[in-house]
Amino acid sequence: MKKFALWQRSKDGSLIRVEEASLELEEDLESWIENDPDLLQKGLKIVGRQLHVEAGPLDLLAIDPLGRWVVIELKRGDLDRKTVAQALDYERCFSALSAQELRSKLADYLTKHRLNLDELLEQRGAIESLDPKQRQILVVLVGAGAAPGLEDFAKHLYEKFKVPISMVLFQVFEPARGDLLLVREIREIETTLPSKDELKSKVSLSAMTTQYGTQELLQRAVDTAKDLGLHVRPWKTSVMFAPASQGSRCLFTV
Amino acid sequence: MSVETFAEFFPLPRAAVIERIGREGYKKFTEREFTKFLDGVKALVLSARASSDAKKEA
Repeated sequence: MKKFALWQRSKDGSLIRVEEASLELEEDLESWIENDPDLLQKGLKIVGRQLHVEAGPLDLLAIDPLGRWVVIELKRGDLDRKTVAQALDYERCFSALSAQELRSKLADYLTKHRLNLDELLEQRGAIESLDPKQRQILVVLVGAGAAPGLEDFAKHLYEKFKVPISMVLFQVFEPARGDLLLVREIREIETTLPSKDELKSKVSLSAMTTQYGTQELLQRAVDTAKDLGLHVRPWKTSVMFAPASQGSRCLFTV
Repeated sequence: MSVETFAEFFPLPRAAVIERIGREGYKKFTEREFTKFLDGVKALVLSARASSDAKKEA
């Protein structure tokens, strides 16, 4: 990640450099994210931890505000190609789970955290994603840094296999007095060309808006966003509106 | 709708975002409410740009 340095201003006006601490406690990071998923992305809901799939235990599983499933893989140090390969293997196994297998694997976690999967998916317009053919999956890798060229590698994988991969990097500081400070950097792969899924999604979205008579309203939203220079991104049953500078950050979804 | 993302990218005080387009979360709109929401989005983005342009000129 971009390396940051921090200074703390003391009461007498002098500056004290804040020492950097190492991000070694993978389990701590997992718990922090589980307790506050906003660390990764606003509106993320964790629905599974250490979920066993054929490739091994998946660190965290979440659903994003657009109803997409998010496979989260954590690494103690820097992210590298092995981390990406491992996460894609988890993603492959997760994408193959039937609705029944998925429900069964998530049951204990959901009960423990008093979450209702159907309600959650209904609210995010993604109840159909229980069906593996309809499931949209993102991969988020979390670590302290990224190996050189990893972003290009992730972009290449996206272009080949259409699995969006994001990286969230944390740097930890330990002030002489007070709690730890976390600095976060988000690296997302820009997906400028519509994927086959997105093209298909336009078709199903169009059918849905026709069915509910909301075509004109949606068009109005798209026109307004285009006038304002916002990024418009269609998904299977929704359209996401994002800032022009970062097409994967959701301002609002219709 | 994410108040935080609006406040981060435009940049605007959270209170200004809430005043124009309401609180964070999922909403069910009537056609009228949806139109009002879109007007709010437009007003927010334009006022953020105007304020940014004014700062640049200053």
